[in-house]
Amino acid sequence: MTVDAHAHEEHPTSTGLDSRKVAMWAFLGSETMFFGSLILVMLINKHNTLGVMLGHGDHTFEAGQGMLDLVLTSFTTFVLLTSSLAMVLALAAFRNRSINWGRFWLMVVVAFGAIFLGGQVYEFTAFVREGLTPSTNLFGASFYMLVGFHGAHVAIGILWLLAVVYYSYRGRYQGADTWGVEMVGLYWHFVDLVWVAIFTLIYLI
Amino acid sequence: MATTTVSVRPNTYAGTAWSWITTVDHKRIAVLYFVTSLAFFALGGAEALLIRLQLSRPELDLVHPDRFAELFTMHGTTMVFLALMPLSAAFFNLLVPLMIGARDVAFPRLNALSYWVYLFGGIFLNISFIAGGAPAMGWFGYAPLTATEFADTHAVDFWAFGLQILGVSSILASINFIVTIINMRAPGMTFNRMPMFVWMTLITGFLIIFAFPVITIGLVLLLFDRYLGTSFFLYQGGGDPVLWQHLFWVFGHPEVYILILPAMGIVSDVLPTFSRKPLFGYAVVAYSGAAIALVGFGVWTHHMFTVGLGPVADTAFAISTMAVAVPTGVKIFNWIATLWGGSISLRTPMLFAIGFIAMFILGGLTGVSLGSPPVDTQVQDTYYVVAHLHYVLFGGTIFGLFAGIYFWFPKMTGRMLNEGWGKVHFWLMMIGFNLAFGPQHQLGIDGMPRRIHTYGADMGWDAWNLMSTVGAWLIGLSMLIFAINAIRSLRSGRDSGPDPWDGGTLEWSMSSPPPVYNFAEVPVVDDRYPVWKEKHGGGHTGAAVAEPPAAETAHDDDEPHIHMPNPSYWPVLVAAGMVITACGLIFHQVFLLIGALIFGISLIGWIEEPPG
Amino acid sequence: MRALMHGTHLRPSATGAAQRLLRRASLGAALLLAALVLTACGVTPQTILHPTTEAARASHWLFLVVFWAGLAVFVVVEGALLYAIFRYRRRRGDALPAQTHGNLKLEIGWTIAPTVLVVLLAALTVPVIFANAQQPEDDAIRVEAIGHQWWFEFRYPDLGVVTANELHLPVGRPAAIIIKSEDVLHSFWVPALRGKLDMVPGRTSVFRIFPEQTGTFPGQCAEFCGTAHALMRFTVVVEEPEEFDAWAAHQLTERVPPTSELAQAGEALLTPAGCALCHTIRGVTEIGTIGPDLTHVGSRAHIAANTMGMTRADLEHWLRDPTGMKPGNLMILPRELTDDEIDALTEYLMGLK
Repeated sequence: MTVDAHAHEEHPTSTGLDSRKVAMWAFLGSETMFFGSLILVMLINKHNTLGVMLGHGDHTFEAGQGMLDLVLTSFTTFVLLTSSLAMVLALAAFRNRSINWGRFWLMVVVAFGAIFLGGQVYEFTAFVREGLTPSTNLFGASFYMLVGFHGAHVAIGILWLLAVVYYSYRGRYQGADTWGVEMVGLYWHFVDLVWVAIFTLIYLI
Repeated sequence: MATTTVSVRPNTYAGTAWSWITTVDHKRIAVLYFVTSLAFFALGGAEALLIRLQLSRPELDLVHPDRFAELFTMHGTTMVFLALMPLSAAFFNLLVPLMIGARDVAFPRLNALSYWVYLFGGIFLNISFIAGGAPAMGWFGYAPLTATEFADTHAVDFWAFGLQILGVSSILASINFIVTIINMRAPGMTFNRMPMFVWMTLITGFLIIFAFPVITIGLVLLLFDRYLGTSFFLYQGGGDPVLWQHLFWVFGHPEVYILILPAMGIVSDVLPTFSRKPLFGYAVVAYSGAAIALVGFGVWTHHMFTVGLGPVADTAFAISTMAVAVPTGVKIFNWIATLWGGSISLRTPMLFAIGFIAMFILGGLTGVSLGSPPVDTQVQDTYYVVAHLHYVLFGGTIFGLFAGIYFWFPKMTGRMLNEGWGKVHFWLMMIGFNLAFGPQHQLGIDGMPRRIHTYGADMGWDAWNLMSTVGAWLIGLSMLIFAINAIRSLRSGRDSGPDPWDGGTLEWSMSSPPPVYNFAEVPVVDDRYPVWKEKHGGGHTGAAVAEPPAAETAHDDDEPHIHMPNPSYWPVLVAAGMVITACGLIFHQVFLLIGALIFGISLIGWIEEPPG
Repeated sequence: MRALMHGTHLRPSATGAAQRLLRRASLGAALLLAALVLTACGVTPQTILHPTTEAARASHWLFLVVFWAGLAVFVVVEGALLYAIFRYRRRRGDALPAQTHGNLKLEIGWTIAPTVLVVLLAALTVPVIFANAQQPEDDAIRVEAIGHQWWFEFRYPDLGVVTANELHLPVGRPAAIIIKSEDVLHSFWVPALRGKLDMVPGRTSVFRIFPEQTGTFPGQCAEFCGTAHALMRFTVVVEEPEEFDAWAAHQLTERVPPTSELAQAGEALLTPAGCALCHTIRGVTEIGTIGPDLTHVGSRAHIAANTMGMTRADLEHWLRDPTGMKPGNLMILPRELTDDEIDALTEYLMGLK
């Protein structure tokens, strides 16, 4: 009774898609609900006039939004979106077996992600100095919650990217199997996409 | 024949405790899920019995009101998150790979992780009883009773962190089963041929990954309110307690379907077997399950008709709620049509499956009455709702799950549960159940609110309450009988052979318990009931086929060389790290550090470990 | 048919014992059920089945519609289920039944049937939703109903009356109940008058009650609100307009001064015993705002959020051990009262008509 081994990795799947990729899509579907709930909470709080009335100091939702540094965040947003392009190039390089270019573009993504996070840290500290903390009012709570939750995702993405770079030195992703790069790419594009929604809703509207 | 089946019983479950801790075999994980969830089921049941004892007579003083609140809070939380959902997960684990012709789930280590996170999360939640008091604000945790002002112990923190941990377990397990069902089906096992239980597992999985994030966010906001001084749910800071209700029920209503759909799947596979007839209207039953799930996301404010959201919102949600009755009704009609014209054998699994239909109808009908806001505002938060939800979740889910236990116990263990005691269990549970929850309809109509620890003798509620208590204890007795039956049958039950019920789906093609690798050869499927077709030739003749079709029986000492994934201790360590971290957020920062370290190191170990 | 035969072969001993037990148990259960049903027919003051207003009648009528329609569906569907089980029970030597997979026409049919029922029910429900949402008229008598842990406060902003746990309304005149909460969620529910409405901290909801009959109607908090949730009741007293006016006028007066020596001693105790910290008794002390206004407490029929009577014995119990009578109670005495003090306070409070 000879049976071709591996029930999992090498066995062709019913759909022809890699199981890990299907899992990633399911996970991102779940993530959509996470961010969706948070964004809805923020929008509800924005229209909660009671919350504005009871807010401490000038930190009503509108005033809070007035504190936002649109120039800085537009710049970091641009950087984050550009990093998605670098991610695409990284995956393409790995697929063409140009491992070194792949690593280079991955590090570009890491750098851009770090710039974005740096901007966010700066913004947070500036707000705290101006007296806006999560407990100040609903705007502070919603802002730190939503932007911080996204920032945590960016940070995890950076760690993950670094791990991929590390494993590329350990000999992975050399052949046709570039799934590791693909996975982190899916995740990174998703996190970028979510930022577009957050940026539009918090900073622009 | 019986002797040969004994000799081929594979030692799927042999091995040390360590082999159980490190197992990644879906069948062993199923056993772990069964044992753990039934233990928590017993715990939740014991809590219910104390609740009923306190309410048996008016103005009793057996349980202090604060303990009483802890009991009903933990009863609800335990039954939903620690008993019924994981019991369904036990069935997912046992059956999905067997039914779709796979050797295991898509991610065996992740599967082990889901289990250990669940176990530790459940223990974590119950530690609160001995660490300063259990949560006492109801399983729905309505703000602002959860605020520090009204709950200054760590009870709410245990509850919030505990649910977060359990949410992680559920989401990971669901992703795993979604991928398994989408990607690991045997050749020919199209979506259109999957057993109905697999269909319902798939839908439940999607419900979980879309519904749980909402409660997770709600709990994060709650923890922010408690730890960081925000005011998401506190009106003093501009927040709104009703926001919590929205978040909770956007999750909470789909949760009801998460609890009922697996049981519906079980019943949809039990009924055909004991009617010797395929499921009537297969496609409609599958799609109506999907329809229930979809509409289930749009009905949540029917839990909030008494908040005063205005007539327009009430109307919209009343209509969407009533719409759920259509796919639900369709399912019931299809089940009855499955029985119709069949050759019905009333074995214990069948009794429970029929009990499910009979009781669930009542729960569904009272549900329609609650969907009408003018009626709802009168009976909302009374015992009428308690009766309704128990007719759905006990009369429905628990009857359905017991149908599954009696049906697949032989497959899992290789032994039959004693049929006579099974019937005693069924009838006692049926009588006890109706005695316990039937009168509660009347109590609600007579104006008895939920969650009260006592009531005046002048309210006219005493006789119905006494009846309800007697019924509850009868249920307890029936469970005791089940437990004894299960233990005795495990030791000395009759040998089941591979196919004791003349089943139709793939799991009946292999020995009981299934060999470690499930299928020596991956089967090729060309029918919804491939095993049945093999035996009865597509179902058009009455000729019986004695030999089970699979090859395993012939090769008992010629183990096929199939590479199965290696055991791993990283899942249990990752889970431990996660829960110890949560302890750190409650007790002492030292745990935070230890937990994070264990978590981080085991995660790296996991990644470094060669898969399979 | 090996598998089938396996199935029908049971261990005779275990099965025999089990079946005997089953028969006995079901007989016992039936007797118990009969006995309990016989005793279950008592008076239930808080029932939803005796509506006294149009709004409550509308809810009640819809309930009956759903009940009878549901009963019909129940009988038909359970009947079909039972019929199928008995009619198609397997008999020895049965051949395989016809392997039907479905029937499109039937399935369309039983999709349409519940749809029609549900549409009908919705058509009946929606008008009632809007009718019951009718806002009170401008000339309605306004009452603020405020939930506290664990009692109800009623304030009449136009009349200046403040009272607790006993809401008085004139018959034949619409009332605007302005619903609020001071701490956590509560719910305002008097089944005879209409469905419930939650009391949400930070929100103000208004609903209309139009009492048509005089009488005393019990109500109870219906949203879990903490330890003493079960002990948070109130009554609505609907009375003739003249009676109501007289009641309101009397409520506006200061407390009735104590006449007996014992009662005077009681009044003197208000501050030393700590009562005044929380309770207002107009004419004596108006510092306390946390607890119910006691100016005319003696005129109410109940104490302790309507879980005890306004009787000497109950008052004494209450003063001796308020936390024991009502666990979680926020009424915490600074010290235990002596028997004499309890005597004096009881006499005094009962006199505050």
